Amino acid sequence: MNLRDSFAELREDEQRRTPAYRIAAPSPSRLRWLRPAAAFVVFAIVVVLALRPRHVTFTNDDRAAARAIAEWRPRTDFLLRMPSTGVSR
Amino acid sequence: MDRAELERQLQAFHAASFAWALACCDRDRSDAEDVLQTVYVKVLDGKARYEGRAAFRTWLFAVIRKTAAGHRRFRRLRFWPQPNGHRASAEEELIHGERAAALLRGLKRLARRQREVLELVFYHEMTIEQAGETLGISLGSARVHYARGKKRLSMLLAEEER
Repeated sequence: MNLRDSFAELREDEQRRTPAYRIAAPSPSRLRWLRPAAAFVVFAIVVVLALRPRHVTFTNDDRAAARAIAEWRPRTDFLLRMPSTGVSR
Repeated sequence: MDRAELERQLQAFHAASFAWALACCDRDRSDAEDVLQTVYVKVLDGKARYEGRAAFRTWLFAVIRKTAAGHRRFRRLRFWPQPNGHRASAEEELIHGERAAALLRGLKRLARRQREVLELVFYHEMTIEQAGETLGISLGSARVHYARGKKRLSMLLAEEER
């Protein structure tokens, strides 16, 4: 079978059924919803980041733990004290 | 090229463009019509601009191919089922003659690039070089796709004849 003849037959078949030339008003793009949706997601992320509380909040337990750490002194602390400690202050 | 001239050119190549769009859309007529309308609007709105570096038909076919590829990608992303099948139905094949239907079956079994080169050369009577330009591949690659595709298609058609 000759390929050229087969293609010619297919071409004739298809060209008989070619729709007329026209330029329709562009149909609403199927991707049209995608851009606003992506923009909304980006906007939502920006809003969430902007409104996120920036100051760190501590619970009472956190404060108690911090105080305990600050006030703790080792038993051998006195060994580090020099006779001149406090003179230069 | 001004808008009137572009319209004239689009109209002159309309039948060939539709046939190429059909080939790029796996012979789905409604997809081919959608793709072609999108291409026409793109061309007339200047979103696809003809710079005169290749023949108008070569450039137009490249735009059709690119648009159809985008259309196919979008189809794959779809979450909802399609009401009618994507592939050409058996009914549609009945419309074609027996030889053309066998050719379509054979073409479907080729790699996309091979199929495209053969369609451009045999159906649209382009040279292999023009086919390569349309597909954005080198002449060497186009020749390889042409030779392999032609060999395989001839083999498939011979199998069908037996």
